Amino acid sequence: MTHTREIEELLESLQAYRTELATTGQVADGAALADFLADLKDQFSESLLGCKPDIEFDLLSKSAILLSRAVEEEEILAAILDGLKPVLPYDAAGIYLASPEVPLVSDHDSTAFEHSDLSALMVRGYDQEQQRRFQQKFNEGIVGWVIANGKSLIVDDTCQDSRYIDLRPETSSEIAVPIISRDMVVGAINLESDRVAAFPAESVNLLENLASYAAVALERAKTHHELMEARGVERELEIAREIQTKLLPNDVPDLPEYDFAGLNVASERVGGDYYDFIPITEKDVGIVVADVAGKGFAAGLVMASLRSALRMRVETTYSIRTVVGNVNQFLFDSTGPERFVTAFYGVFDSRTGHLTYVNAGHDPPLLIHRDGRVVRLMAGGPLLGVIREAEYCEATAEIEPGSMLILFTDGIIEAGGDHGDEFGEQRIVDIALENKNRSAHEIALEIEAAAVNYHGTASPIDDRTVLVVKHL
Amino acid sequence: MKLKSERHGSVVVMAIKGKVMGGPDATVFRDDLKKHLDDGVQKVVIDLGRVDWMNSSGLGILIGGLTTVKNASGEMKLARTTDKIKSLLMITKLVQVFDTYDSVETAIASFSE
Repeated sequence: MTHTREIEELLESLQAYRTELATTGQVADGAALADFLADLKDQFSESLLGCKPDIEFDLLSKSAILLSRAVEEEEILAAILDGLKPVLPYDAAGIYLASPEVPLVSDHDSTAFEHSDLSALMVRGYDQEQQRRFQQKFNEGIVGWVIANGKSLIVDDTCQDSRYIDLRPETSSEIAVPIISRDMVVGAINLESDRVAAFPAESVNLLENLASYAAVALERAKTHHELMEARGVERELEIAREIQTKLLPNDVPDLPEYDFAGLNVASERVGGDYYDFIPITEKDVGIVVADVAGKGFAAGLVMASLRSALRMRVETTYSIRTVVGNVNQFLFDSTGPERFVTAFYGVFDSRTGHLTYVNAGHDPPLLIHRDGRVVRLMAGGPLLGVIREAEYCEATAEIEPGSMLILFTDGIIEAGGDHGDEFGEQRIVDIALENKNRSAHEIALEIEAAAVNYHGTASPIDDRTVLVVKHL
Repeated sequence: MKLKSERHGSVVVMAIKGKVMGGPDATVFRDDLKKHLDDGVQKVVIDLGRVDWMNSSGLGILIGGLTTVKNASGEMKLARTTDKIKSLLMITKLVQVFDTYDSVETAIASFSE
């Protein structure tokens, strides 16, 4: 036994790999690799091929060490192919991935493979044209047979084997082994030689051992990517939540005779609800409620740019319909066709109770008069960001003493809609009237809570935004 | 959401079934639609008769679809819009943007006018 020290190093690095798996919560096939390396320690003095123990050990240990670090699967696969060359000289080689994976079958008639595609993950020795032709044909050839049957195969003379497809004219012999992970064939390794009978029977053993490394590498790469993706999404949501919280107003307008409230509750997934009270003069205030289609970071960004676009234009433009028209063009130019915004923007004059507004495709705010009569504030134009040349018209409403204006987003009105009837407008009106003697803030809270309660826990609920303006 | 495409001469009818709520549904729809356009289809009918529910994100699928088809110099029509979808189109004021028909047959026939 001449390699004790190296093997101990190998096992140490394996231990580190398993610890890393445990701390990151990955479920890769670490136990199988440990067993394999323990076996290796026992049987290593007898080489798998008998003649080149040093090179072979080097190759196996290199693969294992690479595996113990967080490296890309390409690096491991390249190490396997390049390390193989001095041990099993070849003229062309490849590692292929079957998608979807093929179940291991006991008989020779696998039909499952007919529906699986092969892609080359790492190749050596084929020119581009050969690779292209191979890509189209190789599920019919020897690699295809090996994947369909889950068995290794040596072809000593490719001219004599009907399974062989002549894609590389120089090839005279070939060996291919399946890459197997948890009883599924996930791919294959193949080597081709220009010599007849270049691959001895014993080489199957070595190649199959390497295939088990490739399997772990592919499995781990898959888990790793999924983990990274999940982490990325989580961070994204965190940022989106921050953006959303920072962009919403801290205070409500303080105007005599009026009571304002704004309430926003973000869903777990974070949507693009936005509301704002924009001071215009001492007595005039801009009221905005908007909903950006979509979720997460992208929706948060659109919301942020909507806010600054709107606030910037409000400062310089008096005309409400011009402000909305400009924001529409801005959103059209800066987002894709599936990203749109529904918005309501109005300017409220507290001296007269006049509200001049444009409704750009948003759920109509409800103006509930003292006598219970409800006016839906619909007038305006299409939602923002979809039709560049859209025109918007203005309308006015009077918020008389004793009346209330309720603005909201679809998270309120569509609550429950994905598994039954929607919460709807009437419930909003009923709750507002039942609570009309309470504060604007309390009314907003009641409406939001009722929507959440109505939606239930059957599915995640959207963002909820409620604004209430009460003329005392 | 489930999606099924059927060819009627030069027209492809894409029937949407179930709940349409944006997100992954949008990708499925867009991919299918792109495939038809790549195949040279220029007349598309979206059959909405079996849509149980659609929210405003789901509406984005139709808006994106219309833009994609128009950019490929094609035409897209909606057939059998449910009350919920009609209400969404009304609120968002997209009624004039979409051609809507009461049946798939009249939507298909409208292309030859």
